[in-house]
Formats: sequence, C-alpha cells, structure tokens
Amino acid sequence: MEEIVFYNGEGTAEDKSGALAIGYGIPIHSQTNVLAYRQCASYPNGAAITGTKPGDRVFAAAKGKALINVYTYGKESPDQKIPIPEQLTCLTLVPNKDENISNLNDYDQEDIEESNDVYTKLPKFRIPYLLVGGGISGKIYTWELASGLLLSVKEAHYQSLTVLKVTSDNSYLVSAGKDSRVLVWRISDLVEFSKDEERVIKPAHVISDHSLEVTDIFINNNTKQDSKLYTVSKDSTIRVYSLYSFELLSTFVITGIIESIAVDSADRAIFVGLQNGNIRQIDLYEPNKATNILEAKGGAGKILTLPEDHELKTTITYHNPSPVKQLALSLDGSLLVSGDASGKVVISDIVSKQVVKELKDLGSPVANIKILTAYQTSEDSNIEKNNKAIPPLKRVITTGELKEQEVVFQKGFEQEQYLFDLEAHLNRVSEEALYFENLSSINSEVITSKKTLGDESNKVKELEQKVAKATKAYTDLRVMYEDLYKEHTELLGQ
Amino acid sequence: MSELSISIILDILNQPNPNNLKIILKTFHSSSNLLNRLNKSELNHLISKINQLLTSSNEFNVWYGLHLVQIISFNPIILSNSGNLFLINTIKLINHKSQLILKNTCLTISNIIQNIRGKPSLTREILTPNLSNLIALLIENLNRDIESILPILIDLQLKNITTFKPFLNKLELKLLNFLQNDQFDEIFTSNLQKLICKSYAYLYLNNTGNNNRSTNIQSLPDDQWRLKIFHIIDEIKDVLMIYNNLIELNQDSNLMDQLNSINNIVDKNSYKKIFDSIKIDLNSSYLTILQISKRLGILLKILENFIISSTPFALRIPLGLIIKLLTIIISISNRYIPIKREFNSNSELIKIISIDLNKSQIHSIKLIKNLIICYKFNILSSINLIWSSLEIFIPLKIVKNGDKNLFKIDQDACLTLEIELLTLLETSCEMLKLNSNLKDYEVINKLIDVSIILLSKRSSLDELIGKQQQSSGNNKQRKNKRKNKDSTPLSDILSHSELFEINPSKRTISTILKFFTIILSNLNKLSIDYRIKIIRYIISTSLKQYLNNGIISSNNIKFLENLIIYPNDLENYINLSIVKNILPNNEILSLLTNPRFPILDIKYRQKLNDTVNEEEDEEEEEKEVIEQEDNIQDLKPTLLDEINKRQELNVQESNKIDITFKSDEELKQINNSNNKSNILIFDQDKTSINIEEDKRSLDDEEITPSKRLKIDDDSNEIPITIKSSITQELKNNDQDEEDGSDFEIPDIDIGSDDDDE
Repeated sequence: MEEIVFYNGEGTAEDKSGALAIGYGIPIHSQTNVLAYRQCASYPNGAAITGTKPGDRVFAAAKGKALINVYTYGKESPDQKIPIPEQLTCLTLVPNKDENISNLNDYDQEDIEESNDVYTKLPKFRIPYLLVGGGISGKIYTWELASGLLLSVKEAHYQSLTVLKVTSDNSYLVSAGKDSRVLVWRISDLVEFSKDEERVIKPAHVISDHSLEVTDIFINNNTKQDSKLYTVSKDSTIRVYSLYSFELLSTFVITGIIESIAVDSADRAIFVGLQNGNIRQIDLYEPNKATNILEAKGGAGKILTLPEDHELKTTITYHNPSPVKQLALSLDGSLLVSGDASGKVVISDIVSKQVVKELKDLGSPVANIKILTAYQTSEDSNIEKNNKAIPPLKRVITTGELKEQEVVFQKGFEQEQYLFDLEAHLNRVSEEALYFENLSSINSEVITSKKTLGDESNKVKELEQKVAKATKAYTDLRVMYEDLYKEHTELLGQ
Repeated sequence: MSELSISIILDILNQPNPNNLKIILKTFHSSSNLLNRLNKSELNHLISKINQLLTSSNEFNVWYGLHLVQIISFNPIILSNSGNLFLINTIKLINHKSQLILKNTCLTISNIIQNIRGKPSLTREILTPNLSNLIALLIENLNRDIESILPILIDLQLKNITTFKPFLNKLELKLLNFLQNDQFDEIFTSNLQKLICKSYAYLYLNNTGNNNRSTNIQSLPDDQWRLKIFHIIDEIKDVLMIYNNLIELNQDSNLMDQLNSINNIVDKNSYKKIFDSIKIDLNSSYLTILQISKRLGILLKILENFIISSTPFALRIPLGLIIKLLTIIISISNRYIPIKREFNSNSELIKIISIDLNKSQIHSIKLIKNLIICYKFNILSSINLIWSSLEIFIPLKIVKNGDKNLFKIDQDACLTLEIELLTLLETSCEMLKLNSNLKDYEVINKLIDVSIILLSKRSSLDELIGKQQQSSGNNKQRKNKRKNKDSTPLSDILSHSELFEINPSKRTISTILKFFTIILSNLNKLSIDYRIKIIRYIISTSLKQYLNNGIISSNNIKFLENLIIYPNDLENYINLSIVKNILPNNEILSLLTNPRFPILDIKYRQKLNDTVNEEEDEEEEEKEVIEQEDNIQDLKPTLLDEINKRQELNVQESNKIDITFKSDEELKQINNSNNKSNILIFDQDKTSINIEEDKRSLDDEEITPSKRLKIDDDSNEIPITIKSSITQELKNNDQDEEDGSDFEIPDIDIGSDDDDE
C-alpha cells in the first residue's frame, strides 16, 4: 500500500513548448518510483488522473492550446494529443463504476450464483465514463470517452470555468466559474441522446450566493441525502450546501481571500488555502466553552465569522506569502498536501502543523494536487507499452442517433481461483468412489470366470485326493487280501 | 503433525484402495513440507508410482492416479519435476472409454494448466509442446462430455490464440452442430448454453481471417469479431422480419423505419448465416411459430457473448445499435400493434403469437440487464429509451369507467408472466442503480403495482369456488336431500379454501424486496401513495415473521433499515418507532437514535480532557457523590452480591482498599483477571474512554461518564485523603442502600463502584 501525490503546474510564460512543465506522481511514504509526465501544464483543476496502475491515464487540458494531453501509465510524454473545440480551463472525469452503490447481493445462495457477480480483474483497457471540460468561454463539454462522442455542449457560465466536480454517485456535476456562480447539473440530462433540437438542458440548481470568483469547490463522499457541497470564493466565504435539498447549510466568513479547499473525508474539518499563503483549519466540531460538550459548527443557515488566528493554533504558515493554490488530504486524514503559486508542494502533519516533507518544486503555480492510493501487485510490473488509444474526442455534437455510439470496451478476465477447495474435492472423491463400490447385499460383480475355474480346480484336487485315497485304501486292501489269500492257500496246502 | 510419512504413502500406492485416498490427498494438499523435503530417489519413486497408476489398465487405478495428480500438481517441486510426464499421460487418457475417467482427466488437465499458467519456462517446456495434441483430442471427444471439456477449450481459445488457430474450423463445426440442434434450448442446461455460445464467440478472436484484402488499412485485432457482431445483428433483424407476416408491423411506420435503419452496413451475401431459415407452417401446427422466439433467443445469447465476454484486447462494440435493436424487439408487441387481419378470427393462433412475442421480449430484456451490469454508465445516454420500452412489457387491460377507458394492471397476466416480470424487475433495479433522476415515475408506479400483485398469496381456486357456489346455489334443494358423494374430494376446497393458498416463491420475494429497497433508497420523489403501499407490505410481513418465526429475514431487515435511513420528504418519522420495536439491538438504528460525532485527532482529544478537568474539578465533586447514591439505590440485590464478591476478590488481590482510583488500564487488567461478573465494568470503561464523542446533551446519565473521566485524571494530582473519604462515603451508601429497590442502569453502577474501591 502506498499513497501517491499527483501534481502538476500551470507552466511559465517563457516555456512555450512546455518542456519544463512536468507533472509528478510521488509516493508519500517511500522513495520509490517517481512518475513524471512531460508537457503537463494546465489551468488549475485542469488535469485528472485515473490511478497509478498499468492502464491508468492522466488527462491534462493543455494550457494555451485547444488540446487534451493523454498520458498512459509508464510513459513520460503524452500518448495522445486530442484536439478539441476550445481551450479548457478545467476538466473532470466521471468514473464508470458502481462501487458506491450498496451491494444488495447478500440474499439467497441461489441468487448469488445467478448474478454476474464473478469478480473480474481490471481489464488492461479501461477508461472513465465521461470527460467533462469547462471551456475558456464558459461552455461545458461532455464527452463519452469510450465512444469519443461529444454528447453535449452547454453554455453554462458567463466567464470561464474554474472547477468541475462530480458527486460520488455520478448523479450530479457541479461547475463553478469566475462569474461567481455555481451550477449543479444532472449528469443524466447532459448525456441523454435526444433528437429533439429544441431540448434545453437546464441546471438542476443555480447557486449565486458568492459575490466574487468561486475559486474551488469540494463535494464530500456521503450518500445522496447527506451529500454536501463546499464552495470557496475570493469573497472570503466558505459556503456549505446540501446537494439533496440545495439549501445553504452554513457560511463561514474568514479574513483573507480563499484560493483552495480540502475537506476531511469524515467532514470533521475544513482546510482552506488563502491568498496570503496561510492554510487555515476550521474544525467542524468543537467543544462548547461553557458545557465542554462537542458541538457541530454551523448548519441551519448559520453564518459564522471566524476570528483571526493570531496564536496560529489552526494555521499552517509555510507558504506565506505565496498564495496556496491547491490542497489535498491523505487517506487517513492526517497529512495535508499543499501547493502554492511559487511551485512549492509540501506535506504537512495536521495535528502538529509541521511540514513533514517537501516534494519536487514545480517552478510554476501548482495547478492540481491529487492523492491516490496505490496497491502494487506483481502483475503491475509488466507495463504494456502498446496500450490501445482512447477514441479521439469528436468536435461536433452527436446527432442523438443511437447508431453513432460505438464504444471501445474490454472486460477483464475472471479472477482466477483463490485456493483449491480441498473439502469440496474430497467430497467429490467420495462421490466418485461410490462408482467403484458395491453397496447392495447382492454381489453382482464378483462372480468372474476366473473364480469359478479356481473352484473347479479345487474340486478336482479334492476328487483327485479322494481317488488317491480310495486307490490307496484299495491297494492296501488288495495287498492285505493277497496276503490273506496266500496264507489261506498255504493253510489249505498244509 | 497429522501427516503420513512418505514410506507409508509409497506403500499405499502399491495397492490403491478407496479407504486411504482421502488421507493421502489431504496430506499432499496441506503438508507441502512433506513433498518439499523428499530426496531425489523418494521423489522419483513417488512420481513413477503415480505414473504407473495413470497408465494402468485398471479403471480404478487410473481414477486413483488422476486424483493424486490433481492435488499433487499444486506443489511447485512436483510440477516442475514431473509436470510434463503427468500432462502427457493425462492427455492420453482423454480417449479412455469411461465417462468418469474422462471427467477427471479434464479436471486434472485444467488443474495442471492453471498451475503452469503465467510461469514462463514451465509454459514453454510443458504446456506449449503438448498443446496441439491436447486441443485435437479435446475437440474430438467434445461430444462425450461437453460440460467438462468445453471450459478447458474456452480457456485455451482465450489464452493460446495462435496455437488454437488450426483447430478453429473443426471446433466451429462441432459448435454449430450444437447450436443448430432444434432442441438447443431443451437438451442443454443454461450453463452449457452459455459455454457453447462463449466458445463460439471466441472462435472470432483470431483476426487472420479472409478479409485481409484491404491492406491499406491497418487491421485491428477485433476486426473479425466486430464484423461477426454485425452479422449476428443482421440475422436477428431477419428473424424479426418474420413477425411482419403475423402482425401489422407496417402500421407502425416509426418502428419499421427504425428496424430498417438498423443494418445497412453489412452486405447480405458476404457472410454465411449461422442458422438456416425457419420453417413455419401454420397449416401443420401453430406451434411452429414458437420457433421464432427460440431462434431469437439463441441469437441473442450468442450476441451477448460477443459483447460481454472477457477478451485479451479491447473491442469496438456498436453499443447504441444493439440497444436500439433490443428496444425494437421489446416494442414488437401485440398489445400495441394489431395482429394481421386474416388471423383475427383465430383465437388459438393469436394466443400463440402473443406467447411467442412475450418470449422474444423477455430474451431482449435479459440481455439489456446484462448489458447494464457490464457497461454501466455507458448505457446512461439511452436510459430513458429503455425505460419507455420496458413499460411496454407490463401487462395492462382496459377497464371501462363510465365513458373513459382506464388502463389497469392485468392481474391474471401478471401471474402468468411471473418469471418474465421478475426479470423485468431485476433489469429495472440495475437501471435505478445507474440513475435515479427519473423523469417519469409512471413506470415505477406500474412496477410497484405488479410487485404487489406478485407478492400476494396465490390461489388458483378463486374462479373455481365462484363456480361451485353458483352451482351449489342452484342445486340447493337436491343437495339437502342426499349427500353428494362427488363433492367429498372438493369439500376441503369449499370449506378451507385458504389452505390451498400458496405463498409466492422465494425468488419472487427476494427479487421484489431488492427492487423495493432500491426504490426506497434511490427515489426520494416517489409518490407517497406508492411508498405507503411498499411500506405496508414490508412492515406487515416483518411483523408476521417476527411474531410467527421469531426472526426476521435479512432482506426485510435491510429494507427496514433503509426505510429509516432514507425518509421521504413528505413523510414524518412515523416509521421509526415501529422499526425500532421490530428490530431491537440494531446497529444502524442505534446510531441513528443516538447520534455521535466522529472521533477527532488524538492530540486534540487530550487537550479537551485538560479543559474539562480544569473547569469542572471541584464543583462537581459533590455532585458525583450524590449521583453515586442515586445509582446505588437502583441496584438489585443479586447484583450487589456479585459486587460484594468481586470486592472481596479485589481485596485479596491488592491487599489495600485504599488504592482507590485506578487508571483505565489497571481496571482492564483486573477485569481480565477476574471472572464473568466484571465484564460489566469493562463496558463502563469503554464509555469513559469515549466520553468526548459521547457527550451530546446535559442529561443526567451523560454526567456520570464525564465525572468518571475526571476522577481518572485526578488520580495523579489530588491527594489520596480526599478520595478515600469519597470512597468511604460511597461504601457507606453501598451498604445502606443494599436492600434497594428496582434496578435500571446496572453497568454504570458497577463501574463507578469499582472505581471507588
């Protein structure tokens, strides 16, 4: 097990070819295998990574060009450069998994056999379901990666988008833009095939509470009804919405312009990166000073103004004075990875607020940070260089004709057997041994010709013995008779 | 160790006997040490013994040997030493006349292959040289035991594509023979059907077919495969066109257009169809119509294996086209498209046509289900289309209500189509998992109605009883005069008709419950009427189970939990108390009714402790004592006895009563060392550890643990005298109140008592 930090930068203006803009995948806990991706400059939130196993990919919207660079695992330079209609300022992937859906297969045995629930290994060729990009003009582009179809283009924001995120159940897409609005879209609306040209895709909800550019959003991984949306803006507020009812749950007001946000996976704390280089931790539960009882902060539309943290109890000041552009939390929520506008990326311990490790400097503002968990197996070592390319992304919207959807797809091999089930095998042995066994009292098999022969020979022997005996007795008698007769004649002679 | 020594094993192998086979197998399997420790001569001896068995003329000996090889080939040392020999000898046995030997031979071979796979030099040395011989023999003997042989062939087809190439034609002939069998559906089990179709699909893994003419375009590995998919689709379309002779497909111009637009890619003459044309002769028998759905069923099964099989390379799948085809198949229904006029008078024929149409529809619905499971969100774009076509399958009847024609669920048809409807429900479940933002709840409402009908008790007697009562009414006078002997066998039916009611099958119930659970958790906008319909059913069945069997089935529990976790917007919490009553001791409900905050970081918690101490220390000293009193009042005499006993024990252990405040760990140690009576203390300990998270209100019971925490920390600072005074007080109380009244919160009492010793 390992955690890998993927991060890339925005690139510098002098470096037009992007030769110096390298994206990294660096393990947190060990020193092994640093992954690198060349020419990987993107706008903030403009790159996404699917994982760190063979077959995984990095998608990066090239900054300054209408291109998406696709990297496959094990290669440093882009595998594919896919031209797109316009420059993307942010992009996100919608995975094609149903891991978040409760597995209801613990019913009957019979049921389990019926269901196609045989675990399959991940296929070599696997791609997420959608790639959603936010254009510099404020449009949202939705591509189905397996077919390359451009399913919809939606004029969403009045200015360019800053970030796109998807809920963990793949039902909503949330977009935020420089126009200070946040829009929530139903993914099913964005992808539906429809020949109806009149059809207008409307957002499921529009949030226009922020007064300045929305810089970052965060969606937690709860079930649908507890799903929360955190938005931060340059207007110094953090707003928390329910993605179920779209109500504004709480507003946190802080001093300083907010650039980025990360939220603890169990919603215990919010971390915001500020323009002055500080990272501020906001605990969502705190003991009440009077009663000493742990209380939740916010909720029910409360507005909380956070006092300045002069004692620096809840602040990490490492990046000061360059703005903290990106934040991410480790698997156990104890390490915070932060990147700033100068290109520095560090890992700090949340409890002690100390920097634990400094990662490779990017030299340009950090655009993306993502922490991935990796589990290396022996099979992962054989990297296939000739991985099939993803279908090129179309630049024209689909006509809605089903026929167009031709997906590139691979199903993984079924998981090989784990361990031989000896018990079952032994049962089978008994079952089959029965075939050789005769359980009835009637011996239907035993009488073989060989055996009868044996019996006869015995008899013959017996008879022979008898005959021999009889003959012997007879000869004895004969001798005796001869003797007696001899005696008799002798007596008569006398 | 329960392992046999090698000399005994070798001895046994001289005279194989069913008695000792199991123990040898077990030894070989579990004590790999034995095999690894063998020296060269022992190893050779063992291997030659087993080989002797394999090559023996005695059937039993061969069987014995095969089992030994199956297990022993798991051992890497044996495998690398003698894998080749074993494999060669086993392959020879494929031709053995005995069915049992053949089956075991197959298992042995697949075991050996599985163990060799992935190891580079073993594969090169052992598997590859024997492969073509093996494949040839397996194909030759395929007819003898398809179920054992085909899985091996499929594995080889998939993983040894090039070696298999020369045998593809041979295998194809055999497989086509099976597929074209008129009784394919009847003589092959569903598993075998799956295997045959899968193997057929894998024939097209090899790409060096005959269409290498276009050398300009680089050929892709899945060219053949993809072409075959189009061929099959074309064939399916041809079969569908037969329906045009039975029902007025032309009337639905939209459907016809769609059907025609499906396949213009393939040149009809460029390929050979899998099947010959169907012969339908209405003059000889109407039943020949059923061949259509049968043919369609096989074709769809083959198609399914072409689109959802594991392959070594990525495939291009015309997913949209296939979904379109499947929805068209479902749309061909005599409910919306009239039957040809010339058949209109023939009710028998109409029935058979509708049976056949239903069958075709369900084949298609099944495939849709599997597609969703496999392709997941790639289906999302066409999900509304699928919903609307699924709706067509729900049987409806027209009920006249005044001037209006109302559509109602056709109850009789539902019961006849039970299995089909269950498939429909399963498919709906998969679709709801993908997307719960439904535009139209009409389908779901109908499905819920159908489910409720399917869940009701069945009695085929309703009509019969009605008839009987009628006739008995007419014959009342006569009946009174003489006892009707003929009615004796029917008497039960008349008087106890409820005894003939049968509950729906387990599968029905579990499928529908699954459906309900998904609806409940995913569709928060479901109308309250339908929600109540579902809830009423579940609560009543759960109560019935609870009261009659004393236990509630796990699916019901799951449902009840979801009922509480996912409340409807319009709903009050009326269900909570019901469910809480039915499900005592339920973790999820307990968490819901006693919410607690997630645990915070450790360092942070210590901080919290400190503040608690500083502020609460002194004021609460008194409170505590009072509380202790309160608690002790509640003690039951029996428990007090136990406590006294334990106190004695503790005294013995420590010799000092004054040691009083023990840290949590010490307490735990004591608890562990003592017997049962102390388990309760342990509970108390836990609550005190978790105090920070547990604090949620200022209720009385909440204060108890907080005080406890303080005491623990105090032990370092506050002089002993104070504490001992408390203890004494407590002790006095203890004795005073001993003959106490009713007891309510036992664990808390004991715990605090223990603290203060």
